[in-house]
Amino acid sequence: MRRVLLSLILALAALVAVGLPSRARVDRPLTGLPLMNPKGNMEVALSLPFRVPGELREKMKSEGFTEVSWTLAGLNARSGIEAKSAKPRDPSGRWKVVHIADLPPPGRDDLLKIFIMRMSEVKPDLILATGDLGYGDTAADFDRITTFFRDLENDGAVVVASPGNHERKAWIHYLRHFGPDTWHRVEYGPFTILSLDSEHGRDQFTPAQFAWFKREIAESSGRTVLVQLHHPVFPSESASSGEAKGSGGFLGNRRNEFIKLCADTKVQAVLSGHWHSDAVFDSTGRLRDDTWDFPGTKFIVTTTLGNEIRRVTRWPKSYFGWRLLTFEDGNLLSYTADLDGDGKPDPIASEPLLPNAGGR
Amino acid sequence: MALAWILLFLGSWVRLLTISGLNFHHGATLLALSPLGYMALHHFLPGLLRAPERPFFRWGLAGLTALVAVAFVRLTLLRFWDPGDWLSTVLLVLLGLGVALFASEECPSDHGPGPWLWVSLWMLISARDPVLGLLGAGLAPLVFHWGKVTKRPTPQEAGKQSTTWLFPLLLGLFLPKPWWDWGLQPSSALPLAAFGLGGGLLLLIPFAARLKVLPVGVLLSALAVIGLLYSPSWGLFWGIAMGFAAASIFERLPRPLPMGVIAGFWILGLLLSFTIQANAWMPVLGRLAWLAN
Repeated sequence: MRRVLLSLILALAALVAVGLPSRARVDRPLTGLPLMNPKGNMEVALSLPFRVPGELREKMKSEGFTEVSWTLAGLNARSGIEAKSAKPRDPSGRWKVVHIADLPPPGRDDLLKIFIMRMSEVKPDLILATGDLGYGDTAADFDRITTFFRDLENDGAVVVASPGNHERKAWIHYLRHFGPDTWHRVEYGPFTILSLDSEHGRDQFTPAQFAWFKREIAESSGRTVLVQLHHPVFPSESASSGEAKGSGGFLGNRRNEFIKLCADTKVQAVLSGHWHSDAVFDSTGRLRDDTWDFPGTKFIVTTTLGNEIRRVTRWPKSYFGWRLLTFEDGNLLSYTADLDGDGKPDPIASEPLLPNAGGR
Repeated sequence: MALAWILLFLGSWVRLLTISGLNFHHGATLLALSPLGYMALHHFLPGLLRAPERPFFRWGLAGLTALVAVAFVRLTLLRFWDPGDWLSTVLLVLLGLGVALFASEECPSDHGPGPWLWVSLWMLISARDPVLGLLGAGLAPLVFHWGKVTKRPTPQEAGKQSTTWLFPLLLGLFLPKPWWDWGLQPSSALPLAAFGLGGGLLLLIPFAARLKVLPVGVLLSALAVIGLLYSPSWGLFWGIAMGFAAASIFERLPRPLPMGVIAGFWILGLLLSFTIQANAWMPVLGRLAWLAN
């Protein structure tokens, strides 16, 4: 008994030794990650259980975080900020969500600057960044991306990011910059944003992630649900033009259930990247290059914001781009660009980043 | 002590490597792989990796190992270990060496529930950060060789030789499923903590004696079936069942434990498990591993 007690004392002493001075890692909110979890909490991992560093405690107090609940890994603190009651920036009352993926690689900061300027004109409420955020593998490359997101947030948009396959090449830096929650939920205004991690090489959800998704989507009734994951849900297959063939559409044996869940719970849009090419599918997996307006969940793939341009499906237009989704009363009003200027949205097309469409 | 070396040190080491990845542009990354060398030494030159017998030096070595563990974890806690960082990687390698020196020795407490409960405790603590498992490994020499001059293990009936490689291979294949499933979320720690608890419980209750009647082949099959049936929704029960099966097999491994073989196949199982969960374009194997999900 004495031996057991001494062992436990030794363990405790070692834990104190590694934890002192008390340090904290704020997992949420972070720039580029969800500002808030569903209950508007701040999530913090602590080096010593139950010991919040003084500086963070002051910050939490000044920003109205109260009602601390302790977990094995740290704490959750309830926020005074109610992200659900956020108002749209557009005076018309419409909500604007911008979708980007496959961001410009190091050396193409000019494209990031152009995008920031475009966003200061568009004034989106939310920007969803769906993986392959920077293609770099150093801490400096990830600093560059978080600075980019911070600039967008300083201009009034909320950025919600999720990882892609290229983040896996420098996973340690992704984790240090964006935190360990690779799948997460954000509540903002009328939106519930469910960000998923489609896992490099795995192209499928782990059981825990899928169970989480089912639980979260069941608790989202009455909300406008948007889902983002890096890999496209449907393969290009019959609509393929050859490039990136076979990429996307796996998601293991959970794909059909995932699609059915999205359709049954009236998810407005499932947003992906990875192909560096635009595409839109309906719930049956049909490429909808005939019309932008069809019922049910839209499975949207948005082209690259500034990396190599590809042509994956039979859709002929390729360029650097981003996508604007507008919502009114919780319903998706538009999500494609009017490229030919006829006053009607075209099918599939995203908004070109550059005036000359920048591609081929 | 073998359990702390295998489950806490080698298990946490592989897990950290799978999180951090290997960037061979850094010389430190090659150094980070040196625990593989300890396994080879255990196998080919078993007399070399052995802690000194004089109590003063044993105490000193165990204490030094604990201090190195504290230093490593202090550097990396809440920061995610970077194998390209020289200082932390050197500390990790020294920690591995310290634990490896004691790993092949047995003390009376090795046959009780203590090592299993120690593993359980540190798996649970690892919910805060996976590096904390290495702290548990680093403290193990102090805890399990507390001022004692360890007796040399007594050879016993060899048992089925296949068990010595099949058991760690199966364990490596299935036990880390919660890690790959939950990623860095704290929930990943609970099934592993339950595993250690299951092993400890088995040795605490009379039920254990009954399991000894079962052929090892049946127990190995049970381990594989339970491993396949992993699901996050019953992770705690899964962990306890895995612990029951694993502890009953571990007790029947031939002594002295062939540490090189056990550690080698454990690592192989872990890497195979990671490869399968990462799919690596092996859909049949991938489906098999996630069969019940």
